[in-house]
Amino acid sequence: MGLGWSRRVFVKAGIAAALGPTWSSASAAGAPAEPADLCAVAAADPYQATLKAIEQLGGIGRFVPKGATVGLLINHQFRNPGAHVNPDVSAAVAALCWEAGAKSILSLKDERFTYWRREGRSQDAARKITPCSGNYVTVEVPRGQALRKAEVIKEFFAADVLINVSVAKDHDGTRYACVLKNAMGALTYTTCQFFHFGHGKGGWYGDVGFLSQCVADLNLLRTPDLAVADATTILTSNGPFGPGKLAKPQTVVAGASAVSVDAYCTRFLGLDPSRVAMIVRSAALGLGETDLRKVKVREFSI
Amino acid sequence: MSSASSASILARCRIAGGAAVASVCVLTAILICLSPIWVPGGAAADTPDRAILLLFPKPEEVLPWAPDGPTQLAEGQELFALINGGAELFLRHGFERAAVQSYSLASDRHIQVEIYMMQGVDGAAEVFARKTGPAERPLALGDAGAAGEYYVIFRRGRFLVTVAAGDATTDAKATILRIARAIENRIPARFP
Repeated sequence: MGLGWSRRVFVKAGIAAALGPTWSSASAAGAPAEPADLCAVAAADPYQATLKAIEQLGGIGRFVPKGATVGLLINHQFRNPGAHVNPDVSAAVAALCWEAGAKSILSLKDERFTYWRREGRSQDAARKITPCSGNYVTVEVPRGQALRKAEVIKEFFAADVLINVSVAKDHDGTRYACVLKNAMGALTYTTCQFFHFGHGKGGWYGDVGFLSQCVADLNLLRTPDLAVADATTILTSNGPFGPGKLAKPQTVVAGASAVSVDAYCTRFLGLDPSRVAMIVRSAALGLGETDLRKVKVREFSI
Repeated sequence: MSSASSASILARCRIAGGAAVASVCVLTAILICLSPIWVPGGAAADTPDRAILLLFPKPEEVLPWAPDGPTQLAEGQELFALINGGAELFLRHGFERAAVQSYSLASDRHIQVEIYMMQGVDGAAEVFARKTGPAERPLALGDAGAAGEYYVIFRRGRFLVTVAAGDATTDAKATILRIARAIENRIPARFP
């Protein structure tokens, strides 16, 4: 059973896959001399891991100017373990935004179940978060190859800063889901249906290539300014809803590129990013780098 | 850009007793109100929904855990709004309706119960086979059952049930088994 996905295995996989970045202990690392493009922090406390990962990118100030309106797109739709972002990860992101002087934080997705109620720190961070309006706008996707039009929650565009907070997990159709796919959370159900059925071949996953291209096209509309991936407890089977096998890499990954963060996180499911169509297609659209040798990756273990 | 209201374009699952259940028959509601049988999520559920709602254990059977929020209901394509892409598997094998109820203990512990009513026994068996594998151990529950580290899945007749905890503590595992057995006992041997 996957609950025992060991730290040792994870670290070995991380080192092998990243070809260059090395793991440091937090005690040996102070403030970063030069901001990383991507930072992965393995820690028992997801809240602290998130703070550390964003600090290593140059701090939240790099992404959230004082007085900014922040749009938070959190994957909190499903309640089963490993199927949603740990609330401590989201809480840490929100807390940092307030600390940076954000004017407001908008939740781009209706809260499901009792997401923010689970942890004390989540309660504190969530208190001032503004729920989304529930109003959608229809927009063209000028460079879209499969997706030409989409109905998107209006705050997706209205926010000064977009932060995508997702969880790396198995997906029945695409085999992998995290930051890029989480962008679908900003869409109406009608548009999501197009992703699945717009190819006309039938079946929810009748054409995964088409679905993957739609995800890539969607990210053309707006790439997140900051991408945070929760890989603390992840679903490795029966995704995206669960319940299913769990792995516990106990890691939080943050980066300025959704594509690179997704490319990095595929390792937690034993996948190669070159085999995940939505990542490959997003990179082909110029949305980010999948070759992590070209990305300044920093890894820590607290 | 044109504005669109989410209410008109979002597929929605329904909440037992909630405003979204628009087609509630007044007579049914009156009958249910008069009934001594406990129905999760309130009494305002139409007859097919009521059949599945009655499978949930009574609150006193899950103590000290308590129902957390209303029961969510989905029929046919509404399942997409409830479990997103996970719906494909069920719809492919003849999904009819589902009900999902959460239970909580304190603010940070939860259990989620999902009951899926399929159109036939074969559909429940197909989904069960797909959702279980070497990761789960066989469990004597229903017509076939399996247990993962923090969840149990079983099928009985044309029902497929999953009961999943948010943690794998001894207490949580005992509770999910208790809930699963309570549901198993409520599913009639010959459901129409």
